Amino acid sequence: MNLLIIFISALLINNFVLSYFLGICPFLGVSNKLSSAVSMGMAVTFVMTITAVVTWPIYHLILVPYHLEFLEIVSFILVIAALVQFVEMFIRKTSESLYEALGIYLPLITTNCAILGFALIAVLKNYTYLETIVFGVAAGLGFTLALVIMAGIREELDFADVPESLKGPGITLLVAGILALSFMGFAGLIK
Amino acid sequence: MKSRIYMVFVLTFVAVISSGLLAYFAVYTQPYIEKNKKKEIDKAIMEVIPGVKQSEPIVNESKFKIFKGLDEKGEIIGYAVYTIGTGFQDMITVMFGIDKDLKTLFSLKVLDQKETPGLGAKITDDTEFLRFWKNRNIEEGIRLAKHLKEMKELKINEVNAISGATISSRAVVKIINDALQKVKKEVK
Amino acid sequence: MASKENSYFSDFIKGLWKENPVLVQFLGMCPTLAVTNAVVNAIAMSAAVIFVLVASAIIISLIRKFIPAQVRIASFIVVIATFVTMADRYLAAFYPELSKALGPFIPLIVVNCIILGRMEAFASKNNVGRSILDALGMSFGFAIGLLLMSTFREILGNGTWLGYEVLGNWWDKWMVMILPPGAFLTLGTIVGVSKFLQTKFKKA
Repeated sequence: MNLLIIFISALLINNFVLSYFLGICPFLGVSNKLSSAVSMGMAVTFVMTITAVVTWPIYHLILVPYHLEFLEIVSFILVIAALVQFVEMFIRKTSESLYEALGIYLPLITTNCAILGFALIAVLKNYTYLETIVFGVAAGLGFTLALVIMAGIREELDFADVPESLKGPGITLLVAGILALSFMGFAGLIK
Repeated sequence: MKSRIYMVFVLTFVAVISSGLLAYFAVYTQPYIEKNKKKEIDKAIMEVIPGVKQSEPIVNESKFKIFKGLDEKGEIIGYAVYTIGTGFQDMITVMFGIDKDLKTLFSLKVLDQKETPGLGAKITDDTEFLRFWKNRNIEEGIRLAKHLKEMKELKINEVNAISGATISSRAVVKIINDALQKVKKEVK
Repeated sequence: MASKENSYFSDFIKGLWKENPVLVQFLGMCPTLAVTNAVVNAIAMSAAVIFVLVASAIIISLIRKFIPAQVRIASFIVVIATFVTMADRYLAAFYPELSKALGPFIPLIVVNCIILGRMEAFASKNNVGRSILDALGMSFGFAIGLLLMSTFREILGNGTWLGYEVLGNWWDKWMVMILPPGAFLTLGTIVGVSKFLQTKFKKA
């Protein structure tokens, strides 16, 4: 039950993009086409899940027992950077088609604050190993959801008559604001 | 080959310097950080048990703590309970004080919450919410009053909900009642 | 000589408006949106970014000649993460309330594209003096963006500025401004208006 709450909360109520403001750069940058939004979302979900699997043991089995919590930020960011490189190499060797779909997005993920943010928030919330993994999957899917909805709207927006000075980032931000408003309706889904 | 060794050397060097620097800084800031954490909890205990002079933890889990509140002679006057539960939006952290016979709740304090500003966030507000929580009977748990009442009209185990934020109010009541169940098991 | 001074000046000034990281380059969007619900948070965040950006720029421009190209980014990240951790611990030790309000957004300065971007584009190629000026300009530009955002959001959303009452009781607080949607709406409006003014200015 607790796992379900964590899942729904990270997916909808406290959506990483629309409520925590994590991963805004790719949200604004890669949301102009539906197909690339899906690929980016998949890549982030994938890396986030692996990050969950790897960072929890690092924090709770290495840093905490040896009182090295102050190395949290340094070790997390290095692990994530190494992880992304490794995943990229692995995908390139194993699946050509998957690499074509995700390849160019992977290097961008290292500096995507959603990943590091997720690892830090999981520690802050004191989740167990299983909870952290569920949280990672849900946060990644929540990011994908926001990105895909946004891309869908922006593809339609191309045909709309937007005032000249609002074209580009301006209207994207305003649309994101309205999207965030509607996501607020999910609050209270869990009782 | 030579350049590769140099590469590893530089990276190791940077990492060692950085962790050394951080270790020094961590040792320097650690006492202050711990003091802040302790101060926050101590201050809350003082507020929720009237007349408490010192406290000692009985249960000390990350999401649930019970503190024994003692007066100046070291005699027990009540318990302070720290608990975290699900609110409307995110987790709500509260601290409340009860008497040593587990019959009366002295008062409630909300330590951390992320409810909707202007509505659910009023659970931290004294006039709108917290003042109704003074000296409630908890033998059968706390209940929300069916409609808003004056303080003196409330039954001894009732509290008012915040108008427009019934769900947040209900969440707090549930958090407290759940915690009381646990307290009754722990404190015999 | 005059041209050299001029270029030093432009190293500093370009970050403030022409290449403003927040309003023109759209870098560092996450903290811009997340911590601008109150002016005091924006100030603390800006201070942390100024510290990290300047300190990292000094160190990296000093050691840039010893760092092999292959491990450049990794070394930069370690240096940045070191200063970020220091800023984070400092806030937690001496300003616990601010540290709580900013939550994970101080640690997240590590992945703020402004910082790594400036290291890669400027500090790793220029001497200490110019790197400091560039870092100061960029971080002040970031601070300007944050202050602008938080001023609008706090006044409209809470009727206060830095905690002081600005609008009286007659003002019906626009709660939405301090909620997440308000961040997007404010930034969208600011970007739209500044673009409108720029095009109008050019035509006139």
